[in-house]
Order: sequence, then C-alpha cells, then structure tokens
Amino acid sequence: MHGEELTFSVIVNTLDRANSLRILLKSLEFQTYSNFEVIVVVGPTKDHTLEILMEYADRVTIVHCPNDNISLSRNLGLKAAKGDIVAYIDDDAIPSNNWLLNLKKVFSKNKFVCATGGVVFSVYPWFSLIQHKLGLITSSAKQFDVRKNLLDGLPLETPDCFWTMRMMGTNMAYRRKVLTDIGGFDEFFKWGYEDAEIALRLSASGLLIRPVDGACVYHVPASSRNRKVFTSTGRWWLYTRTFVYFCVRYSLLFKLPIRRIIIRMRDYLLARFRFYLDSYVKKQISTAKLLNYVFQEITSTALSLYKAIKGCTLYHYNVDHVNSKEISKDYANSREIRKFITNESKTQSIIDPISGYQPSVQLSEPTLRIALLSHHYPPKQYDGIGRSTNMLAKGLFELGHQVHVLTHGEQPTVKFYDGAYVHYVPYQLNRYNKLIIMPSLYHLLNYSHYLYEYILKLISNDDIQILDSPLWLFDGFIAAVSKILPVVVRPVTSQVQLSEIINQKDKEKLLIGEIEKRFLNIADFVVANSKATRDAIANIYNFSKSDIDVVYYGIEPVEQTEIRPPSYSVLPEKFTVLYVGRLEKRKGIQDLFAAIPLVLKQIPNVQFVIAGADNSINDGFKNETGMDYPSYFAKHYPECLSHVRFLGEVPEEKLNALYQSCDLFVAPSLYESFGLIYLEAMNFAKPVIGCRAGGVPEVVNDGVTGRLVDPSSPRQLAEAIVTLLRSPRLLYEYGMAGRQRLLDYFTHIHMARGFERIYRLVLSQTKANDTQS
Amino acid sequence: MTRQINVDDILKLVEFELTQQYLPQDDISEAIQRLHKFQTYWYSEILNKGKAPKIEEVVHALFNANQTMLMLIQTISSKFEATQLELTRLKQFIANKILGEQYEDGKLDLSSISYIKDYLDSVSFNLANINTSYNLSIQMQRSNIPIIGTLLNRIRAAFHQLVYFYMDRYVSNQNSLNEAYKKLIQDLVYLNSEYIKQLQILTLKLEELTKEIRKENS
Repeated sequence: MHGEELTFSVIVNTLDRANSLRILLKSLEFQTYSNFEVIVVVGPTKDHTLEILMEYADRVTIVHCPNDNISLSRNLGLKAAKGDIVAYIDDDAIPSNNWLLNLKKVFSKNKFVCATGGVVFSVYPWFSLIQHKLGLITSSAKQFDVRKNLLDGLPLETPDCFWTMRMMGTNMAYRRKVLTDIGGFDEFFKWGYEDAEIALRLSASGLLIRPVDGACVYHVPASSRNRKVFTSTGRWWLYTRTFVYFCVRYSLLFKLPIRRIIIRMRDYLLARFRFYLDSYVKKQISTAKLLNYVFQEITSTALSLYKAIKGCTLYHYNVDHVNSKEISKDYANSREIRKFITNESKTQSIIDPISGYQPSVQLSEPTLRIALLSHHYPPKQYDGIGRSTNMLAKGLFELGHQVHVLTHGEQPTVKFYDGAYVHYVPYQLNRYNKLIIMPSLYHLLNYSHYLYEYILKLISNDDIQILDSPLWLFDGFIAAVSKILPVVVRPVTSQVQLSEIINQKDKEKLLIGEIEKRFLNIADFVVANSKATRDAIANIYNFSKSDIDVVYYGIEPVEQTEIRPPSYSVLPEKFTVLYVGRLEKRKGIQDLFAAIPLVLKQIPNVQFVIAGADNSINDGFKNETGMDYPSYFAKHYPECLSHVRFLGEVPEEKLNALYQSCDLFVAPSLYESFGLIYLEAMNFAKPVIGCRAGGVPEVVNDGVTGRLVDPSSPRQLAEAIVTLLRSPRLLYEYGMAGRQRLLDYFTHIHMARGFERIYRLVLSQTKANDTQS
Repeated sequence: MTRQINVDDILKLVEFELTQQYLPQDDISEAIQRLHKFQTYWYSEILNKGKAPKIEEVVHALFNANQTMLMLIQTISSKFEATQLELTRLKQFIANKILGEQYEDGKLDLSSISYIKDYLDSVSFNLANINTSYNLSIQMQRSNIPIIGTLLNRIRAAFHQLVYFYMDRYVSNQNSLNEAYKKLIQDLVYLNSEYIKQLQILTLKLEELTKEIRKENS
C-alpha cells in the first residue's frame, strides 16, 4: 500500500497558552507532508488565543471546548476531524519537519497498526532530556517512558499484568475510525493518563500499537492552569485522581491481587506526600497550601477509588455525544480536509520555540535546513570553531533558516540554544578496532561514524538538506564518504600546518593530515575563513585556489551602550593589557612573556591579564621544560610576577567584562587561520596588536585598527605595546575604527549571508547532477 | 597486515563499516544491496587488479563479508522476534477473551509457539554444525626432466599438499558457513510465512470476537 492518499487531522488542544500556540502554528508550516488539516480545540480561554487563531481563520478549524478537560477536548477534536489519521500534538510542542511523513510511513507500512507516536525531546537549555521514547505502561500504571528499542525492558507477561506500548499525549496518532469506534478518550481523565488509558484500551481490544524511534517532537513544557512549570505549584491531586482511577480500574480488570494494588497505591501516595513535604521544607509552599494539597489528595483518591470500583468494566464511551454545535456547518458538511499548508509556507522564516521570536526577514526562496557540525559548542567549553559555528548558526537563524548543530555531549539530548537546535551526540567506541593503536584517529573515526548515524536520523526527522563540517577533527568525514547529502567543508588551520608549527610529526598526525586531504577532495564545496587559509590549503593539499571560496567569519556586535573605547585624552593610572587564548606555543605566549619585562622597563604601571587554559601538556611544552606556562613565567620572570594575572579559563560573561575593562588587546599568535579573537576585542572598541601571520592582516588593518608585528619578535611586540600605551589618542582611534570595521565586514550576518549563498549554490548543483543522472 | 596502515586502508574500513550501518535500518533490502556492492568491490579488488592480493587481505575481506552476513541475519531474526511479540500480544488478548479459563489453567494450545522455538533451535544447531570436511583434488603439472624430474615432482607435490591442506580447511569451512547461511535464511523465510499464517488465523478470530462483542452490546 503506497499510502500517499492518507490524510491527517492534526489536533491541538489548547487553553490559555496563546504564545505557545502561535509558535506551534508557525512551525506546522514546515511540515514536508502537506496532506493535513489543523483543528484547534480551545478551552474556556481567558487570554488572546482567539485573536491568534483569527489569523488562521481560513485554514484552521476552531472548535470550542466548554471545560478544561483534556479528554473532552481531544474527543471534540476527533469529532471534527476528517482525516484518515488523527495526530495529536500539544500547543507547547514543535513537530520535526517530517513528523507527519514519518507517522504516515508507519500506518502505510502495516495496516494492522492502529496507533503510533514518536520521540519527545524537551529542548529547554536548562531542561533538555528525552521525555518519551517507545514508552510502555502496565495495567497497574507502571510506566517505562524511555526505552532503547521495542524489545527493551519488557515486563514479565503474566495473566495479571497486562502491558502495552503507549505514546505521549504530545506526539500520538491514531486511525480515526478505530479511535471513534472504541469511543474516544475517557472523559474522567481530566488531566494526565488519558494517553496511556486509550493505549491500554486499544491494546486490550486486540489492536496493534507501534510507537517508533523517530517522528520526533520538540517539547517546550509551558505553564497551564494545572501547573506552573519548573515549580512545585500545581493542582497535582488531579494527576493523583487519574492515576488512582487508572491503576485500580485496570488492575482489578486484569485480576491483580488486592494486596498488590494496595502496595502500588501506597507507594504512589507516599511519594506524592514526600514531594509536598520537601516543597514545604524548602519553603516553596506555605502551611495552608500544604494542608490544602493533602486534603485534596485524600478526597481525590477516595473519589477515584469509588469510581474505579463501580465502573470496573471495559469502558465503552460514545464519541457521538460530544457537542458539535461549535463546528461550522459548511465545514461539517464538506468531506474534504482544509489543507493548512499554503504556497507561502515554504518561505516562512523559522521561529524560536522558546521565546517565540521570528526574524522579520522576507525570504524569496524556500527556507534552508542545515546541519552544522562542531566538536565543541557553547555554552559548554568551546574553541574557535565552536564560537564561529555558534555565530554562523545565529546568523543563519536571523536570515530565517532552520539550523541543527551536532556537537559532542555525554547524553543524547537536544536543546534550543542561540537560534539552533543543538543535538548532543555521545562517543560510541564500537568500530574501527583495527585502529585502536592510534587513539586519536580511533576516537575521531568512531565519533565521525556515530555522527553519520545521527545525521541519518536527522534527515529522517527534519529533512536536512545540507551538512557543513569543519575540517578540523573531520567530524563530517564519514557522512561525506557515504554521500548521503551535500557536504560543505570549512578548513581552518590544517593538521599538517599545525604539526609543522609545533614541530610534532608523528605517523598518526600525518595520517590525520591525509584524511583531511581526502575529506577536502570528496567535499562538495570548500569554504576557507580567509585568503591566507585558502592559500595555505591550496599549497599543502595541491588544490587550485579557484576551487576554494572565502567567507570571512563574523561575530554578533554588542549593543552600542556596551562598548568601552579607551579614554580620548586622559591617561589611566594603570594600563590593562589583555591576552585571551589558550596558553600554547602557537598562540605566541612565550613571545608575550619575553615582551612583558621590556614593556615594564619603559612603562611600569601596566597590568597584564592573561585569560585562557594552560595547554602545555598537549603542545609538548611541559615535556620539554617540566613546567606549565604560569610556573615557567614565575620562574623566569619573578620580578614581573606582580604585574601579571593568570586567570585560567574564564566564562563568557566574565570575558566580556575583561574586554570592556582593558586598554589594549594583545594576541601575538604565530599563526591564526583567521583571528576571531581580534574581532572579539574590536567588538568592544579596543585597539589590538597581532602578528603578520595567517589571516590576521585581513582582520586587523595595520595602523588603522591596531598594530601588526612580525611573529616571534618579542622586541617588536614590546615596542608596539609601548607606542600605543603612550598615546591615548591612538588607543581611542584604533578602538573606534576597529569597531566600525567589524560592523562593516565582520558581523555574523555578513558571515551567514556568505554561507547561505554557498549552500544554495551547492544545492542547485546537486539538484542539477541528480537530474542529469 | 604488517605494512603501515594508509589512508586507503582507512577508506576501506569506512566502506565496510558503512555496509554494517545499513543493517539496523528498516529496509533490509537496502542492506542486501549494500552487501552485494561490498562483495563486488572486493571481488574486483582481489581478482581484477594487476597486483596479487596478500592472503591476509583475502581472508580479511571474506571475514568481513561473513560478519556482514551474520549481522544481516541477526537483524532479520530480530525483526521476526518483534513480529512474534505482536503475535503473542494478540494471543494474550484472545486467550483473555475467548479462552480465558483455559489460559489460566495452562491449557491453551501454544503448540505453534513451541513450534517456532523448535525452528529457532534447529537454526542454532545448523550454525554449530559447520565443520564438515571438504577435499580438493590436486592438479599438478608434472616435470619431465630426467633423473631429477621425479624428485622435483615429489617436492612440488609436497608444496601443493601443504597449500591445499590450509586451503582445504579454509574453503571447507567457508562452504559450510555459506550452506549454514542459506539454511538460516530459508528457515527465516519459512518462519515468516508461518507468522503470516498465524496472523491471518488470529485476525479471523479477532473479527469473530469483535462481532460477538457487538452482538452482545446491541
């Protein structure tokens, strides 16, 4: 069965969450399967939900629900639905682009499947986890919400323990006819367990439920009348009410011994009371509230017990009783679904699922769906590539595109951060065992392979069109070899260059260099961050320069009020010279050390602030000297120690304060592929000093925005520092010119526009090639 | 391999791992296609290139192909396991509804499930039984040189015997393994058809039951 003809009714049940609803409706525009209608069932709302819905009056069916009862609301939606499949999604969730397509595949593939649903990720930056995946529930209400696969963690089959796969209410779909025949949702379930109950009822009727590891939904749990999100405030007894009803009714039905039912209830209620007590001890709730909660819990339990024991038969509910007056007659009489997707849907800009911010950009071509790779990524510890990827993601979001960033993390979670869905992909060291003798290569290949697997999932879920990977650590190598989608590679400093700079040329490093070369060869497009990088890559890997495009990196400009240009006329009592970067050979830290005494000899009131992690182990310095960099400085320049502060690695907020408070920024790197670090200082209108190496001269305009000196020349460096510190006018002029240069050429928007052009070019080339073949 | 590993070796490893990758995916036919592609690649690598491959490389390639084959069979088998699970669920329901008492007394006819189990056992037995012997005949060109010809023939025969001794062991094992694969796949296909039959029977029972419930309700 091909299944193309399957139509969907997407049902959204909402109450007083207008902003969340707005975000959801905007997100539904990106569904790749367009054969669906949208039905919004609005409870007794008090906010501006209806105003928002007015914007969609011509393509959304609005149904009114008289009570704040989720089951009733779901039944009303079912009654109004015309699609073959009804798919429920909460108003505070965002479907993946292929959500409906993936659900459709399940129904089309197996005609016995009557219900399915996918994975639910909570994507709050501070609350990111898998909420639901291939869930399961037993007749005594024991839940297994996250399972690895369909056969994982199955309870023992006994006559008194009936279990079924289940879906979470925010991501579930049913064959409409089956759901109607079984009588819809049981309206006793005012809040919670209605999704589990319907699954159990369907399963007990011999119907097949098959949740899938895909068809994912990104959840942004929002507050409602029943609970205040991320607090202990809520009408939790409503949950107890449904739990007790569910547990007792189905345990009795499947003949679970009374003693075990009592134990189950006892455990649940004890946990609930412990939760209240904890909240009370932490002073999150008052004594009056505590007493009220306990009273409500007891009465709810008693009511549910009575109802459950009384109505202990397989429930047959008639969905026909629901009030259909609210559905407009024209619509009710028509058999066709009213499609939600319009011609303009494809060019809508993406929306932030948490804040609801939507860039006000007018796209003339369809929105792009891009996956960016970066081994390290903010807000966790990150490097230059992490920072530039972050800026690219943010810039692309501002241009209206959908961005997914894949980075390394301990747990496989997803969060929305700075305009992108950030997917954390853990290491899986289960391949390439032959290479175990080369640990770096072994790790990198395994990680790259797991990333490739993850990208397959991402393509399936979000219909990613293009992959962008840095050359460094070759994260996207396996994906490029597999040719699953077009790959753009961003080279920065190559492994070969780095090996030469720090004079480490072991066999493993050389092999990594060879892989980099292959990676560049099989990539669909190569984009360097500066002309210097382009020339270096072309030279080292025998590339034609014309095969490599250049797009300068950029950063997000801070507000004008946050910039702190040095004082125009008054000399400060004490100058602050800032260095930011890892403490390693390549960054020229030893040259700075050598320059410090020379500067202090001429200007004693200078304080040097050195921010960055010590990297003496990895760059071989510790092996050579037996010391890390701060110890080395203390030993060799004891007289200057009082003028130097080593801060170690500092968080971003503190870093901004350091940029604001310094008078001069210095980074005498022996090589920088681009020099993002100078832009960070220029952002705060600070003059900079760098070396004439790599891409630095393309960023720092010598004599206009700062000074450039020769690499490995501490004397020149000291002279430049002294010259600038002695002239407040120069400090001011260079600082302001730097800020202007950043605004003119090096913002994240400039960068994103450059990459957008390349992505579109690559996609059109791929399309042309596909057509030809 | 004693020589230094190079980037081509790494690409071959990647290609092999990519072949494995397709197995956990839904589409088994895709996996078979990838396996076929992989085999073709190695076939051309070993036989069509001017340079003679090293014995380790041949063995490694065959080993990888066998691994892939096993993975494929495991995947197919686990898929049937999931189907079996569905069948059990249906049976549980029917047992509860139609044969509830019998089920509680342990009298429900579960012969079909034990039949499936027997099949899986026989599949395991086949796997364990792969060490059958296989003899290769020696086809040796004889030397006609007078006097030392006989000696040369003896030495040559001894060398051939040595090569065939090892080749025979390897080839016979590989042949048996291939036979076992074939048998396994046949068994799995048969098992699948059995599942389908059972599913049809259960669906009919389910329809009857639904009718009865409707009658009762009306």
